[in-house]
Amino acid sequence: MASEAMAIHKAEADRVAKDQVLAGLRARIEGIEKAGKLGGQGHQAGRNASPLALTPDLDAILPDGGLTRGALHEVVGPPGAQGAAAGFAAALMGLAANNQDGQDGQGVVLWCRRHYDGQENGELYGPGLAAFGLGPERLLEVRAGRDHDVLWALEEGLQSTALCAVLGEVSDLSFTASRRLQLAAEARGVPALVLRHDSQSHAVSAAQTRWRVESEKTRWRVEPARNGTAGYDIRWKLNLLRCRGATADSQLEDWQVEWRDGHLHDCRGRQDSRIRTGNRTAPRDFAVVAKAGQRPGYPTEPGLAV
Amino acid sequence: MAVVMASHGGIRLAAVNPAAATAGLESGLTLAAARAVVPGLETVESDPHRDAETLSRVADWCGRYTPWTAPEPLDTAANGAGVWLDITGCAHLFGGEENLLADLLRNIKRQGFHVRAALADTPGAAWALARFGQTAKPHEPEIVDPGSHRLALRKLPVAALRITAAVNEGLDRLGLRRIGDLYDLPRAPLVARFGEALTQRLDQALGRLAEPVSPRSPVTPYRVRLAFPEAIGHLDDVAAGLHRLLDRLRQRLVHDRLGLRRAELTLYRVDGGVARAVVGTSRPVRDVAHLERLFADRLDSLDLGFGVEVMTIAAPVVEVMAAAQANLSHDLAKDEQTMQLGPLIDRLEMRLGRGSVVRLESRASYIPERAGLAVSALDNRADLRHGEDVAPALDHQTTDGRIMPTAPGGARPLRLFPLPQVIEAMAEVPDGPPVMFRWRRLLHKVVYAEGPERIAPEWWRDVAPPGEDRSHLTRDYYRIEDTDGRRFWLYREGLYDLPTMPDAIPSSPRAPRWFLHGVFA
Repeated sequence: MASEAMAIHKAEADRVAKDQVLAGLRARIEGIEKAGKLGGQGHQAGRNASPLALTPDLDAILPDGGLTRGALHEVVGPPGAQGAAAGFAAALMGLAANNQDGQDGQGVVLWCRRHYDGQENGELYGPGLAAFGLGPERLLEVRAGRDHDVLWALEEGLQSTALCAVLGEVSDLSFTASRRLQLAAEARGVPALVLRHDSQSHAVSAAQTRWRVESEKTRWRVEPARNGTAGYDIRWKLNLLRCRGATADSQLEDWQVEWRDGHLHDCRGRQDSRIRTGNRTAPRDFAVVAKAGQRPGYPTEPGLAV
Repeated sequence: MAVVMASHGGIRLAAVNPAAATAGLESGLTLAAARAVVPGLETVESDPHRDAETLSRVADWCGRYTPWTAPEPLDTAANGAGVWLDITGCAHLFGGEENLLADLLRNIKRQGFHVRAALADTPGAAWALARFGQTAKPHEPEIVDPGSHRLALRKLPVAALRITAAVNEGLDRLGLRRIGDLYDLPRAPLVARFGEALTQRLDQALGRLAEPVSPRSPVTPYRVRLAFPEAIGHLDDVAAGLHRLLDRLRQRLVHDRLGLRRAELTLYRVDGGVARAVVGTSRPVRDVAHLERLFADRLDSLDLGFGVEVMTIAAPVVEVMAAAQANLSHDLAKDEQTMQLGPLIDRLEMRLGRGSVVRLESRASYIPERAGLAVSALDNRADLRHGEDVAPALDHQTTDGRIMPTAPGGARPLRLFPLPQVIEAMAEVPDGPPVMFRWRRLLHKVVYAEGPERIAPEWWRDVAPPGEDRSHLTRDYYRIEDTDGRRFWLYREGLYDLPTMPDAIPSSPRAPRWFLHGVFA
């Protein structure tokens, strides 16, 4: 009798142990599946899993309802100094730095480029970047020797828990490199941006989105510029060249956005009486540029902007 | 075998090996004479530079016994090249002075050197005994008990005092052959006859005069050492040893409330070579895991040779490091995030080189290239988050009393050329904005221009000689948009017509020129 009860007890214990093992294995498989999934949409366990809100219209197209944080995004622009593309990338970085999920605080971002880019396309300029929410305490610039080192620095940055976004300026990005970045970004739940030349806009990559950015004609404010503030808002024309997970019928081209007051805004159908399209005659209504002979005079104090 | 050296009067022997010495050869003999005695004499050309190199290497290798090693200058090494070791406080690590010397001799002989060693209270006595000492068994180290070096030196020839040949000869002529003979002599006649050098050397040997020996590499108090019973040749084993060493170093640093800014790993190889790896950090560090990661990149490039016997880690640069106090009012997760920034910067700098990670600080200046400054992230002592305090942004007051920052949205470019790009520009009126301009062979038509923002040179910085007019350095900046919507920042350097100032030179010395300085977003 006693031995029978013991046998039952033992069978019970075996069953429990087996269940535990099975549950453990299931959890492991789940983990492997999740890790291997490409461009996993909104499945990250990271702190920053919620997407980055851009503008209402753009968020409506993007599959996650915003820019996925744990993913690789490419920004391409016309060759040259890439003011517009760099500006849009800086805007995305600024948003990522200032809107950390679940935290009111701000994080640090990494901007990697080759050191000779400074001579060729201009150095990053702190006062200009500060307008995009990337003040000196937010931004670390890495000056690497070549593309390979830039990519390495990006991956290293993605492994650190200190950063909330990374950006790399490269001339060439292989599929393997893009896939590595995508996986690293996914694992940490932090956006990785790559700024590339226009000529690469058809290259294969594992990135989740690819944006083509061009300058859009500025709408100049009618009221005169004062005290060094710009008399216009920065505007870009965006083409979403690829977007993983977007529905086929969604319009991906020809978006116009504006960077104003630390946020992106849609410009579609926006009729603002304050704004009109810039041309050479419009600004003449007010004296931004003094006429010849009416020069603002010799600076009253040296070093002073007149 | 003999080493020969060309000197005045023909080729002479510079050194001989024991076999040649027993055959009756000695250094200083001409090669012809030597060949007459030993017809089959093998010779090697002497190479003082490589001798010095080898000696330095030996001195480095001896660092496994004490951090305080120094090679003796070769020009004084008439009686064989030497290395000084100060083993004060090190002997107990090897089980006593005898054992240390025995171990040293065994290891260095295995490398193929003929060595003699002596241990004494003063460098001078050790030098003399190593070269002229008479032990019962040859090639046994000579160890002089503390305080008895006077006795030990008594029987040695005066040449053991590191004196010149001329002085030696002079003493010989006087019949003073042993050091003991000099002990009781009146000093004044000795100084008068042979100069200060002889008495100085005697005093140094006897310890009456201090003789400092400067070590080959600076000695740091923060140094830990690990010896393996058998040579290890695997990188994994080195990494494991590194972990143990770093842990021991950390304990000492914690005790003294210090963090290291630099760490040097030295591997002493079986073959007598030394491999080194140095890492630097952005802020005081004593975290073992972080240091291990920094070293991990360097380990691969280390040459382990046939194995490593001893490894040491030294921290030559240390700084006070307060214990981290968790701040209750702060978000703990955020604090941890900030803490991770230092290690990241270290890793990036390690691989990409010094100065490759920078922060873009702002400075109080109206000159654009001075307002933004890239400073190395390593120089940053303050926390990155308090960057605002480090560099106050330049504000100016508007007419209605509001404070405006200098660079609000769009007023300053995103990218600034370190050297403003010279462009060809055409303007409607001489001092108006340009209508079109050519930059990098591309013609840009200007649709809109905003400006000018006039920035005059800062007179308080580059002081001009009196009377010189610097108005030609005044810049008029324009924000420009071209037909494609690209936005640039141009400026014209110099003015066309100067306002009449009493003592101004009528026209500026240079014609105004146009530059492209930046690109807007």
